Amino acid sequence: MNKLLLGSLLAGAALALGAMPAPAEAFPDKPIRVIVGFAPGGRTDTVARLLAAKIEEKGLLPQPLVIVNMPGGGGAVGAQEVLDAEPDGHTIIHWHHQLLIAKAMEIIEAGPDDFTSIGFAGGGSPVWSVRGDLGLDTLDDVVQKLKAEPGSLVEVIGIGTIPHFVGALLAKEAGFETRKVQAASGSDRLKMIAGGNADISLFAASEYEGWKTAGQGLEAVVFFGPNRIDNLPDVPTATELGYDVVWANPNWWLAPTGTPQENIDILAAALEEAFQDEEIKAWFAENALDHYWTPGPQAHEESVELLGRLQEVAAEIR
Amino acid sequence: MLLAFSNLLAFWPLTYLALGVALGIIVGSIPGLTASMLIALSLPLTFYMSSVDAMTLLIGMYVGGISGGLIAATLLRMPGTPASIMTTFDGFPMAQQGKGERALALGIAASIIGGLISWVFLAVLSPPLANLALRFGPWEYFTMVLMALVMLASLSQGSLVKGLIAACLGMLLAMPGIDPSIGQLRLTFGWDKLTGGLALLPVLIGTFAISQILKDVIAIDQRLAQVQVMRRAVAIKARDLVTHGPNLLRSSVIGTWVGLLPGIGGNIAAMLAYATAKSVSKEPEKFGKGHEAGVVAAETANNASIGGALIPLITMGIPGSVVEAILIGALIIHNLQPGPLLFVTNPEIAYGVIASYLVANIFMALMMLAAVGWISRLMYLPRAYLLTAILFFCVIGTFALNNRFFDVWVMLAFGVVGFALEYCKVPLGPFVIGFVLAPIAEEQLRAGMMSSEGDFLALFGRPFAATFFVISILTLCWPLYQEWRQRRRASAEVTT
Amino acid sequence: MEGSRREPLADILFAVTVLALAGIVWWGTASLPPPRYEPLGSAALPRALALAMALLGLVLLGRAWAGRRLQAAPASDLGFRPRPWLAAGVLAVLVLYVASMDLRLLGFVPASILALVLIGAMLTGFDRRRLPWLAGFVVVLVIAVQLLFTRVFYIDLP
Repeated sequence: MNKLLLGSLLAGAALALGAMPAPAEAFPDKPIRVIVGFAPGGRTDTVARLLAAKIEEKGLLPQPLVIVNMPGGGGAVGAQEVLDAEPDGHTIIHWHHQLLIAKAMEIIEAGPDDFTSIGFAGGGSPVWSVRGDLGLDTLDDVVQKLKAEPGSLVEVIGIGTIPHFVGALLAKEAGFETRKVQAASGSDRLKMIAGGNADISLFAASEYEGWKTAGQGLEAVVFFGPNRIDNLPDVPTATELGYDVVWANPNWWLAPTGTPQENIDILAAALEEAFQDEEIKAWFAENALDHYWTPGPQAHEESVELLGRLQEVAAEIR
Repeated sequence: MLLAFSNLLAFWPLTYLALGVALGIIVGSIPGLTASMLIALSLPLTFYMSSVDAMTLLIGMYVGGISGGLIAATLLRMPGTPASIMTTFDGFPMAQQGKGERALALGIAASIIGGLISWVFLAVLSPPLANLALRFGPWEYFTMVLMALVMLASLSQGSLVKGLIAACLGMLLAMPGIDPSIGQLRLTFGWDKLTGGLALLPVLIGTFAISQILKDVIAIDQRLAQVQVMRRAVAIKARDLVTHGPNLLRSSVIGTWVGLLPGIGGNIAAMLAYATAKSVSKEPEKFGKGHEAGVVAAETANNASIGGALIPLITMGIPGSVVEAILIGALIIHNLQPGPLLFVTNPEIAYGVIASYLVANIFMALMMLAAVGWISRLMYLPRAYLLTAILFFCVIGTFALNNRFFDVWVMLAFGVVGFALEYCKVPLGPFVIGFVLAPIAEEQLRAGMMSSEGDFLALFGRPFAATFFVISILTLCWPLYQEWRQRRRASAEVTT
Repeated sequence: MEGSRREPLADILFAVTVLALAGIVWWGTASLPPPRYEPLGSAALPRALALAMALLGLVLLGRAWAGRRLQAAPASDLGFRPRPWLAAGVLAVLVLYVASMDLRLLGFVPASILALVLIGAMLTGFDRRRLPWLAGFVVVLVIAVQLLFTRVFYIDLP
């Protein structure tokens, strides 16, 4: 506790010494910290790094974007850091709809209203896949089996994460029940299926493409995007099959609430221009991601609406 | 495969590989800076390289980093990298007994042998091993970790009660934050900063390095017997290979196997190999007091775990540890999706990984032998310089890990905790082992319970899990029985 | 249990701390929801550990209490003078060092140079002849690390 006391003393001294207003300079006047709430290597990290490199290459901002990885709590640790930072646009976060799920599950206090959306830089939808040796080729087969023998298939999920929610949305729509097992990440879920310890899981489309021959193989039965994609032309969407479940997980750029709107606009303009680059477009296509830009206000509105629906689901599965 | 080697024998891949190994050894030997940090920090640099160059650089860093950790672990009792925790338990006592040179020699030899044996597994048996490893479900993970935990809980000199308290304390300190099983926030006492829990590196650096520095400062007036490490003396004799042969082989297999299992890495490999070496040893009481077999087991296994971890990476695209996750990230940026198709679509990468791992091990052995005398001499710089520099690296390394000052505070706090524990003669080994193993054991147990719908007995339906469980129970009961017997004998002597 | 006889007071303090910690953890788990997805839930392991610690703490307390009248072993001649206050001083400087950066009072370079020179000087017993060398060493070290991290690795130092 001495530490806290000391901290507050020092903080007091700092306030007394130099709380002078900084002269207004053109934003950004120092490197912009982009918080990624995951260890390096995942999609959120990679997209952030690609866009940061593109912004620097094209000279879209006078200062570089520095990617800062703060893994922990599915992104919650990084989010906390952003909320604690000065809301001036020099600290932003690249996250996705786990923010909404964490809020709906009441893992974190913060929600979309604590952030200002800079925009969605495209996104991707997942596929639901079953183990190849089960002989279940279509979603219909799976649903029928589960209705005949409830709980006869093991679905590997991460409780309180996207696979849990998307699976629950579909189960609610189609009226079936699976047995659940917990795994922390996409590769952990693959491990469970490839090793025969589970039967069904949700994967990002690009993950599915890389892993479809692992172990006994994976069979994609339904895609949760609004439309079929070129990478998986034979996988029907849930909507096509008559289930109203669409999940598009965006690359969501956020700044803490209170960030000046003109700084948000500068960031959004730079990000959008980098995002529209042909190389980035090609990378998105290659990795089974959708390439679209949603401006901040619209992104915020869509997210708040989605949060309402997720909270209904959360009330049932918590 | 031959093609992969010939690809590798070009100028740039070899240069990057050598550079990676050298940087890895340097960073690995500095307490506070770790291989995984180096690799994470280097990831952006690999954007601008070809995918083969990027991969050789990262693998070199990985191998060098895990190996470099043994020097500080032996000479200063500060694990240079988390994988070398177990090396401190016997390496440092050996150094204190004037056998530091011998400990380093054994450590280096064990590293290279562990690396080579696991390379053989990687090159020859990758697909079947990966399939077998994937069959390990939650129950197998749980019982295996439980086994390591109970085998190591008795890893203490002196009081068994204190050892057990230390283990419980370590496990308890791994609990706060988001519960890995269901995302429930627990034991944070309303403190936001604790949401992510206490990270391994700050706890480890605090308990070992900072507390050791405090002890060294208290004893600053002490004249130290220096270990002069001569290059010639670092060589080991053929006789050692025979004496330690079974241990080397067993620890390599254990290390490779643990590496194969996604989610657990070098430090757990070393723990399990050490525990096994101790329980099959004829002189288990010598472990923890400067026993050669302890150093050999730990260093063989942590290096072997790298070869093991590369197996699911190249055959399935499943990362075995944080480092592999970053490797995968480096490949994805170059538009390569690791997975079983990698051998078909980009064989130069898949075989390149295998080839670079072998060459990295050879470079590692050569560089370690060449540099060990030099690095050891650095460890005997005047204390004022050495301790100041290490403190600096601990602070910056802990900060750079996740860019959070909270972690640095955790490190300082655990420095004091570690110091206080040692002052009360509570062993640090079980403490840190409990901290590392508890989260995995808990997560896997609960996943197992979930998949069996709450039936713990489902464990006995799985042969591996059942065997591990029975061994754990026996190991747990044995020392209690022994202590009871000793005490009875002692009291019998007093009364007669 | 040789250790517990030599240091009965330390043992008693340690046992009491362990008991207190077990209590705090037990209290901390009280607010956790009941298990939902599997029969154990978030509270099971922390509670089991708290219970185990409390039991072991009681055993330790009992033993230390029983052995408290035994004389502490006479301090053996260490051959050097222990300097606990020096360690406390180093720790204090470290705390100030980290605090000054965490609260953004000082930048990375000045804070590091100040703190490290101070620690180094304390360790040499404020030997004036060695101070310039030490300061030079620290400045080179700090600047090198600063350049490495900001220019090569793009780490954002305070």
